[in-house]
Amino acid sequence: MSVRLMLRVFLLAILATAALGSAVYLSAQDEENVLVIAISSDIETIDPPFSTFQRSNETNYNIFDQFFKYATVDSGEGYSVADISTIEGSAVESWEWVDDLTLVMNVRQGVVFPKTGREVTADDFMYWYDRALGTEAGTLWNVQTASIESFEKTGDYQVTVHFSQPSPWFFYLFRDQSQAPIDSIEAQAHAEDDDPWATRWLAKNDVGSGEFYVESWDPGIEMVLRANPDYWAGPAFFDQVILRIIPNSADRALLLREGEVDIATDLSTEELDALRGSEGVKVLSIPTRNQMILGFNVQQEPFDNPLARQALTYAVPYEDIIAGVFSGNGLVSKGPIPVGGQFHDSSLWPYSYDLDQARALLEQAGLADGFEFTLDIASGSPITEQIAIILQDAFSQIGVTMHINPQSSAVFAEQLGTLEHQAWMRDLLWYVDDPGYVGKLFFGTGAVANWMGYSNPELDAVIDELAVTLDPTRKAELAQEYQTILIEDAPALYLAEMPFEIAMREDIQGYVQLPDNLLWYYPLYRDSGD
Amino acid sequence: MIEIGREWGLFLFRRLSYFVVSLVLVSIITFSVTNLLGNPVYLLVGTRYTQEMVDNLTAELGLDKPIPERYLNYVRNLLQGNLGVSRYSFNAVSDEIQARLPATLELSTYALILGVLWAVPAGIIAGIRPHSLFARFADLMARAGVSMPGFWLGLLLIFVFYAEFNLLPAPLGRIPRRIGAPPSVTGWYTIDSLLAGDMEKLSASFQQLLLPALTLALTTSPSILQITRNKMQEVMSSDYVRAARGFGLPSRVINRYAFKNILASVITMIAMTYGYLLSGTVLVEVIFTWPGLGLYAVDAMNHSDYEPIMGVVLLSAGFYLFVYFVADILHALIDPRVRIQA
Repeated sequence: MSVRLMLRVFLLAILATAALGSAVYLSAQDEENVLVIAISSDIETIDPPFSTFQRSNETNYNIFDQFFKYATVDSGEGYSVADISTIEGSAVESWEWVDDLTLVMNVRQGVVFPKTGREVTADDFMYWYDRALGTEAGTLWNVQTASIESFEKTGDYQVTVHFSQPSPWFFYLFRDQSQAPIDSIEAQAHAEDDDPWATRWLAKNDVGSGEFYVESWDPGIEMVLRANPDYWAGPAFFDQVILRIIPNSADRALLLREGEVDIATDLSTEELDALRGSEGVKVLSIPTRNQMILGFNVQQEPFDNPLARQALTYAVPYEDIIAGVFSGNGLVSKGPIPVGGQFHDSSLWPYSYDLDQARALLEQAGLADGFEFTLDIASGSPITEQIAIILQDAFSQIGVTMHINPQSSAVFAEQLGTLEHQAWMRDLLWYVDDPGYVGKLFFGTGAVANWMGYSNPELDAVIDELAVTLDPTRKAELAQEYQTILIEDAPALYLAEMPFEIAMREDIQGYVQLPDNLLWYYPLYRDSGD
Repeated sequence: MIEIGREWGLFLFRRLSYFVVSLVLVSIITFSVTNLLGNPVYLLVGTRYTQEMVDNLTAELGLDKPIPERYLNYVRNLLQGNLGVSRYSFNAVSDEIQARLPATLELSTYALILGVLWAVPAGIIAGIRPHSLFARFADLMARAGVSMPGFWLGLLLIFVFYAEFNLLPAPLGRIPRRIGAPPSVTGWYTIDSLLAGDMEKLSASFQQLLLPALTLALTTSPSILQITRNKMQEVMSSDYVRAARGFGLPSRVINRYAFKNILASVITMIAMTYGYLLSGTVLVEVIFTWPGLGLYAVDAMNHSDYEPIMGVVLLSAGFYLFVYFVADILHALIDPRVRIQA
């Protein structure tokens, strides 16, 4: 009898709790000026030099006031896009080129750091520069790549930048999330003997002057941002932005549909498709310069033979990838400069899906019987896996056997750096829309991300000239040469231009697509149209 | 008396030795596996770096030293209670674990209570009346629980109780943010709410707990149910129970005696289940956004942040071994033969 009694109590307890739930449960998201964003994982760090993941970059973009910003233009599709041809001042109010190697920047006056109330001055810019050199982390790379020789304080609100050579990429790089003044007095107060740049403290404490500041951070649960009431351009519409960590993508989609969150990030193509028909939800699908690339190790057989690489370029079912993996969104790539890039020229692209041509080239390469190779991919990316499977099938039709080898992300990244892959595939977002910059980073001999081991002195010369050329006409000519060489040499396959897709409640307006796919909270507002 | 003391001393010494040796083996395996997952330096520097940055970071993380030396350093720090720091947040892993442990403990314990409350009585009834309708139902439930992956069942429950019928709140952690956590005393929201006398928080904590605990209970309790049912069935068909029946003893008395005889096996299975729950809640924590150790480990794995992974695995293994250790002692208390044989 007692056993039966226990069972009854147990069942009653469940029913009672459920009933109680229905009695007290209210929709959580009911505040007009609170924006709730469902994110997939925690923010790694809020110290910009050490921020390499998208999540950290996005937070840093919103809590620091970058030197410059891109202007925005309405796309006519319900969102705006960054206009990379127009640079606007942000922390730097105005600037003047003295000559090609000297830039005077005037710091915006009367701006304060919201957490300490101190005014932003040239000292904070100088500290940012010294810290970039001292920490020897990501920001230093930007400083070096922009050919900056030194920063010089030339007034309480003025900093002069000296360049070692003309710097066509300076503005592109200095609108980056990590290029922003920080409260130098506060940062220095937390320096320690073994940590002179206060890296431990700054990893979780923000000292920026951006549109938002960190109100609270509960690791693994949420980060709450508060709008900076004294932001120089006025406070943001949303007083509070809650970044809610919801690791399961099905939950993020469900919670968006139910109105529990306003924006859901990092959803799969299937989840986005399912949300497209949901009431009160909209899905933005925006073309980007994010290319899915399959890189060959050109120092190893058979990819040391350009004909083998060209053959595979003809064997890619480009349209199938766009249709099958991206539900028809996204664009077919046509070369090393993305279709949306300012110097892209589709007329230079000779390739299409043509298996006869692919077989002919293989025969020419002495590989008429085909060959085998291994494609390494980082595990945990369904899109990469789906594309790899489509390619595997397509290549098999010309006698090429491709083995797909998923690896842990650390192993994958390490082998990219040490050039151990025979072939690899990943997406690369060309957020600096300049072939010279991409060349310096990716295609130049010995470039840091030249994971193909590719080298062509002719291309190196083009890249070197692009790195110092300010004249737009000459840049366009060089960009043509750049594309021609890379299309001919085919050190990589450009598989697709992936759309940036994000789902949000219908009343969220003002979305601006940044070139680095970071979600910018400041221009967002709520308008239900009532 | 002295003989019993000697037996216990020997028994405890052996069990403790197993405990320590197992823990050392786990630490070696965990350390080796995480270090074979690849050099995280390239992931940490991203795509924009110089060789100098890579070299500096490699040296800073001690990755330029041979693996045995790194392991010895790790153990040295471990003995001082230092589990290392996260490579991103610079937070001490021990602090993070301390902050998240109550969430996992609370969920696991309630899941175990739910599981035991269902599985033990159901197993006993099914064992006593193996051909009854209830026994078939219990069997069906056990099979379903074993075959259903926890994450799938969790999603199903969320869909039904939250999305379709709005009976329970969104699967967003331990307590809705508009209600807020109770003042921390034990770290268990249900107990802390009770201590604070805050019934709204208590009710909210239970609502958040219900579905993840139920998911875990349904998927982990079948083994308890099966062992209870099988053992009960076995005991009920034994000679002494038949003899007792023959002597006309009332069923209640017979059942009580029979239950005592299956207790040791049931306790062992409950302990094993608890050990599993403490270390195996990862997927359910992910589905229900439960900020426990599992979620912490998953986040660390996504970023190849090895120190937190090693910390969590070691702690989970320690739990598992500890629970086994306690179960062994209970077993030895119930059945003296166990400690003599040991």
